[in-house]
Amino acid sequence: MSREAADFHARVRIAVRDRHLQAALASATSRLADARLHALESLPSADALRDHARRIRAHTIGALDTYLEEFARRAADHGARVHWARTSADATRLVVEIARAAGARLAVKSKSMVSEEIALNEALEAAGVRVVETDLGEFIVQLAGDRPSHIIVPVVHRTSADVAALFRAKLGARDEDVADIPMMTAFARRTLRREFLRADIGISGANFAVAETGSVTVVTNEGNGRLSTTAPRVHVALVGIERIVPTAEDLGVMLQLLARSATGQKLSVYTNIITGPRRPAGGAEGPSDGGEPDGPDELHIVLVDNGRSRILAGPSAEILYCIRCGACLNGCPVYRTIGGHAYGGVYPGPIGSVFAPARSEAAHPSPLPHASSLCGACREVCPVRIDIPSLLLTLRAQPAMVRSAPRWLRVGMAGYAFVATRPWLYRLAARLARAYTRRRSKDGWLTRLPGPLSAWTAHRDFPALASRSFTEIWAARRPR
Amino acid sequence: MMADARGHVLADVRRALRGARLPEAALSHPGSFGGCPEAPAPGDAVLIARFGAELEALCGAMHLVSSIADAARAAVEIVERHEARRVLAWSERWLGCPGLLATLEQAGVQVTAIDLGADAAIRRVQLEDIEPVVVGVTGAEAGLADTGSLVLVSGPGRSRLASLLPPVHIAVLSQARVFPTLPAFLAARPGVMAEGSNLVLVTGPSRTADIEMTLTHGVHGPREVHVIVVP
Repeated sequence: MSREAADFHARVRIAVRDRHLQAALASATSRLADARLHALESLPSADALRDHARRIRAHTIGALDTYLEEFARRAADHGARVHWARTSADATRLVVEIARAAGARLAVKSKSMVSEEIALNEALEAAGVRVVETDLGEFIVQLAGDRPSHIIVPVVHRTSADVAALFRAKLGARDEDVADIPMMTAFARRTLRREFLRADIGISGANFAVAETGSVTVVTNEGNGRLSTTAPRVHVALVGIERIVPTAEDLGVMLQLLARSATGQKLSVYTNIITGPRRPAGGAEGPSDGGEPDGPDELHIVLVDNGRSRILAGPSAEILYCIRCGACLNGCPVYRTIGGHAYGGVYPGPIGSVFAPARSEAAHPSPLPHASSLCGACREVCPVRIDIPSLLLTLRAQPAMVRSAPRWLRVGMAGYAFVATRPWLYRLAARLARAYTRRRSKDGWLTRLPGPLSAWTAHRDFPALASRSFTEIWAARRPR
Repeated sequence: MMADARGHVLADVRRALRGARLPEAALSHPGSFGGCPEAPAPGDAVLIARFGAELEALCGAMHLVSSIADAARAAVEIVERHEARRVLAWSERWLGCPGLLATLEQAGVQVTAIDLGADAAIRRVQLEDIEPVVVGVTGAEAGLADTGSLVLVSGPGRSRLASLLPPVHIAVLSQARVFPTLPAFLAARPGVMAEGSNLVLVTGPSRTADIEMTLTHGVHGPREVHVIVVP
């Protein structure tokens, strides 16, 4: 077993034994999945809309170069400064340079998957800029020195008692500040308000970037996405290059699906669409135009590739249609059992099992494509109908992946192929296997298979084979 | 080097696109979504009722009034209930409720307009000054009936912070501007997205369920959203 696989298995073992995590996962994922179902029912022609959304995503990714150029041109027309980053090192360097030029010592950050992907906080801290996460869940994760475990609910793995203890220890909260969840939330509001008002720069991700208008869209429920992009003088938006939608109308289509799929809301509370920095005086309304009264004076948009063009060239390109709603996590029986941390990366769940290995340059193949029962729940709930099970199978069949399989498995599969392509041998082997499993089973089940096959029965039982095979029954019934 | 980075990324994308495996990727844009059912025209009573029901399901409040004078009275009542001595407000011209600010001032409420300076230090002082204000008063570009959302567009006299910083947000919305859906609004107002530097859809009060999936209002944005719908 590779080191990566061994580490993954170790994390899984920890997760499945964590009874609190198991209870939290079961409750959160089933509530989110139910809410999603209910919300989609409220949408007229939801299925047709999903088909349409898929066509928009497919078309956009297929013409990504054209749309990226259009987006960058329009954004610049509205006064945004557009930067391009090929790698995570390029992206962090760009943001550090922007922060330095702004003389920034404090950055407030709205939740951004790309920033986690490129380890932006660490780079900024190293450059002397304090970074404060402002999404309540991410704030808790940051205080605890933890990692998010869900795309939408980052601290699904923590209890309110954990959070109370954390606020006491790290922020000096008093008993009345952490008496219940609303009090803790109010305490976090007061704490983070001070940071918002003092911050030199605000950093956000982008759920979508609209080519037609050069706008970036930041969707939040708490309002931290609005504050981070309004209060500080400088706003930096990190945009994965696949986040593009062609038109405002297309954005409307995606927004109708995003929140419904993510949390079961019809829309998130704040859908914040940003087109350039605040407009200066003497603008559209002539000399009497005093300019916009607030908003950032500078908007920097960093377009981040960081392996996305590698995914586009590879067999899993369809994963770039993803709109990061997290529905596939809530639907996945594997995610629901092992939680986000076990996946060991920024993107957990079925999306992560495709996105992370497809983006990676690592010599060792990732164990994640095997972390799926291929039941198809992820494909079922995906708002843009990404065929995740097929993508996982494709990744499993990559030569490096096959080479990394354990020796017993490769030898075993070769042996199986030898037997299965020789009918007489197959019949003989099947008869032996039937006899063996029937003799060793209890109430029709085996609790332990012999040799290396015992790995399979470590976590589940194996059914005894039927006393007669289908071919035997068929032969007996066939009229002569 | 900057120009280089752009060229590199675009070249990488173009190289990848040759022979990329993208199911259902048509060369031409798929066009508009044709599956929308017929909807009432903006301002229809059915839409106002739906807007109110959706907003109230999210713990927001709709106040349907029959005159501008009633709207001003409703706003003053909310401000007084919160014992607010000061409000952050859009300029009169954009409120859609002539006389509202004068009525507030007559009730002894100080009306503050925001105008942040370009200097970082001055900006910080200004933000600290307006932070304690309890009520923000704005107009609205539109309402969306099927989601209970407000559409707010930034511009001169229309600050973003008035609907964001104070814990209570009062918005004045004209009946005629209540659209059935977001797509209907975008179709009726092409170009609206880039009219200001910010267009925000506000769908109820600020909320979170990050701690134990427990719904809590008023995290970073307002915990109360009042929409006064005027004729």
